[in-house]
Amino acid sequence: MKEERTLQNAKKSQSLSLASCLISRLINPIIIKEMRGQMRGPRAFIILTAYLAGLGGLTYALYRMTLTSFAGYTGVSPQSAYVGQTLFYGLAFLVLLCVCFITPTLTAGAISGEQERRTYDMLLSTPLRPFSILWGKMVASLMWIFMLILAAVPLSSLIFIFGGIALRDIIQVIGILGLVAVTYGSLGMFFSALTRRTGQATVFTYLIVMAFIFGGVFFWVGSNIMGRGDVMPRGLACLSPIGALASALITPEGTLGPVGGLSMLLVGGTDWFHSSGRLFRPLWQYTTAVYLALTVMLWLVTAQLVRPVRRWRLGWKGWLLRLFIVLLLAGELGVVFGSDWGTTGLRASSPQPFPAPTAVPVASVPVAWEVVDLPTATPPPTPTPVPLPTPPSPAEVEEMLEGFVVQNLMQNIMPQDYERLFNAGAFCDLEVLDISGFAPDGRQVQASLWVYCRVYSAEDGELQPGVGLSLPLVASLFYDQNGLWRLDSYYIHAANMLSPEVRQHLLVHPYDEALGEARLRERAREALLGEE
Amino acid sequence: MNEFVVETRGLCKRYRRGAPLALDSLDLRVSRGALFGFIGPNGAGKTTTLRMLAGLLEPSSGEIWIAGHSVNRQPHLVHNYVGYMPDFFGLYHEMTAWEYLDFFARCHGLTPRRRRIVTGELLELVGLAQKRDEDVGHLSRGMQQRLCLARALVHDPLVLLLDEPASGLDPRARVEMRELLRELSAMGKTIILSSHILSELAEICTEVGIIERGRMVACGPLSWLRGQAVAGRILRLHVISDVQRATQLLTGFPGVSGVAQVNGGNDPAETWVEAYLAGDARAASELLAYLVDNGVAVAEFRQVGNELEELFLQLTAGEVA
Repeated sequence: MKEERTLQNAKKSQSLSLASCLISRLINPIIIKEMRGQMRGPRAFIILTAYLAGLGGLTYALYRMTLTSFAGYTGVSPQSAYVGQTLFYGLAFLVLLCVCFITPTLTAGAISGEQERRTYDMLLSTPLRPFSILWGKMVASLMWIFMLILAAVPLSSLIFIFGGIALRDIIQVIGILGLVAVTYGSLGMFFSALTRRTGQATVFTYLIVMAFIFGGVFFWVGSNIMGRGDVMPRGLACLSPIGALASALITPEGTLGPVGGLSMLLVGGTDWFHSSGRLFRPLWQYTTAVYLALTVMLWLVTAQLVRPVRRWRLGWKGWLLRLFIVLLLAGELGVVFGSDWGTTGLRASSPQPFPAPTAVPVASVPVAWEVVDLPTATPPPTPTPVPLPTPPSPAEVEEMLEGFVVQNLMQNIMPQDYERLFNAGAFCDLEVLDISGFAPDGRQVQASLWVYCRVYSAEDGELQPGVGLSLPLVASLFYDQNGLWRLDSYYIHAANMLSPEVRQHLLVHPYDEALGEARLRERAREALLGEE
Repeated sequence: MNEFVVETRGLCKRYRRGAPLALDSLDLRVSRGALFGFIGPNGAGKTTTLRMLAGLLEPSSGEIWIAGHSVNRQPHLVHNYVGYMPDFFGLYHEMTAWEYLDFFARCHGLTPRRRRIVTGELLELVGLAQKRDEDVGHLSRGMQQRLCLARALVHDPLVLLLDEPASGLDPRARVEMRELLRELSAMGKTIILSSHILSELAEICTEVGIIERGRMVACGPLSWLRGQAVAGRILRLHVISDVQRATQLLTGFPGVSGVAQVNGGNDPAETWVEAYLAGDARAASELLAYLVDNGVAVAEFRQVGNELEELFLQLTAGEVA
């Protein structure tokens, strides 16, 4: 009787074994224990409340800022979608910062905390494998982070009131935040196991996280004097989680709203994520590859570090497995970075002509059945090809830009009374250097031009030159539905945004300031003194 | 090898290159069901040995077998046979006594049904059934120590390794711990415990190993150890009548190597005589009879110091310089 029962039990357990084995491996005792402790007591609720209150307050501030700053620029209220996007970007970056700065504190005590509480020996004397200990600690810590990320979701759903954000964007952002949390969490655990002191581990983890966020820019600025205009190598740029997030958020027009400046500062310009058409792949894909590889490597090493004995004695099978994993990671990085190895990772700004389709010879296949004549169908009407818009002429570009450029430059030079200057006697001379295609459909062009700008005043019938400046500009123009070219945005010269020909042109034929000055004087004289 | 549950051969541990040996070729054999007391002063290498037995520390050389499995070669297998209680037991905060045991039962992979039974039984065994839902941090130290012992028992191990189970406990808690250990021993567990305090736990041990500066000085059943030691004791007498005469008589008694007059007792005027007698209990009784026969009025006659402590001091005297 008893034997029968044990036999039955054995059968039952066998059928359950696979599922229960998987579940018991995923949900390990440490996760259950940590989660029991984490939400107990007032701490968790205080932190969560403070976090959400802070986030809510900052979102509101961002909302006000968006409204006022937009109205300040243009005099009209922003479009609803613009507000939605700005809020979403702002929230995404705030949560990213929270993740970057909270994760290390959660995992840096994972191993060292056990040691300090003197529970580590007891934990190690159980049959738990090092990997399960790490997994349990990691999941428990990440639960917290994911709770913070998910707690922000209702807040970010405010965005849907304004619109402008797709569900895909939200999923992408959560994915990147999760990746950052896992990577920095692993980093914290690695140092926790290495130093066995929570304080030290926290400091080291923060240092590395800081290096990831700011290191690339500092290194690049340090090694290149600003303005050389080269793009930061993507190997360096991709380390920053901020750059990665920005590259995932950026709109095809290349705007990030008011929060764009932050990411621009941190990855040394918008080149890396400016326009999807110009990159082989968005920056965040490089980041994902690097972070994934780093995480796996950290886990491999940490799993050895938490072992009490026989740390590095693995046996040939163990070494082979680890070698295989490392090779796999190297392969992964190779595939991601190798696709554009030896280039900057940026495409040239001029659109590449589409390769002509090569005719594929169709093999004649013997047909085994009878061919029946069908009534000839009328062929579908061939779609009339949409003509590509003709690019604007340099004169058009100059006309379009003149008012904007003068106003904005004056605003920058003399913020106090630019309006008076602008109305009184600010003049600018534009010289278009190049107009090149930008988008494949030809609906967007990039114009490179020189600007020479100066304020004049008339005193006693004499022309007095005031402040002025000359600088190269890059303007982006688009072709709207009404068949008109419109100014999208313009940037102060960044050499890497110019096509190689224009760059060459700039070097060989620098702008002739004397000529520009003469032209301006002529116009100023005409306008201010009424002389012909 | 089956006869001995725990066996070590030439076990050495050196913590750092160039540091002195923390443990010097230790050969230990503990038979099944034994209650082995590991006794030595602080820093003698007791914790080192126990940690190595538990597979938490790597020996510099030498081998350990537990239940026939080599700790050196299969360290993770040993965890199923060994319940280890560290000297400074750790506690997780924000956890109840029941959850604490449940956590370790989960770590050992017990089924939910088994876990429920074991948790209840162990709390009952260590007398904490009432404190089941109490926060671990709020328990008294004795209770925490007992809970920690229960923790080491969740997977019903063959061998219990207890590092200083009585340290930091008040006398009552010590007695309770001693009773608990007796009970466990009666249940058939092999127990290895370490202690720097002799009197507390040594009495219940079936075997005692005295360790000093990483070296096993003496090892065997307590009775055998007693025989090994030079039988000598300090006798203290309260003599009412003639102290001078008593001193003379004592000095003349065979086996007495030293006599001294001391002040003792509650009254400083009382005179006591102390005599060091090299001999066993029979010699002491003969000495008393001799004194009484010769007309010395002895009001009190007692032996000074603990027998085991004397033994311990004797055995380690040469080493501690």
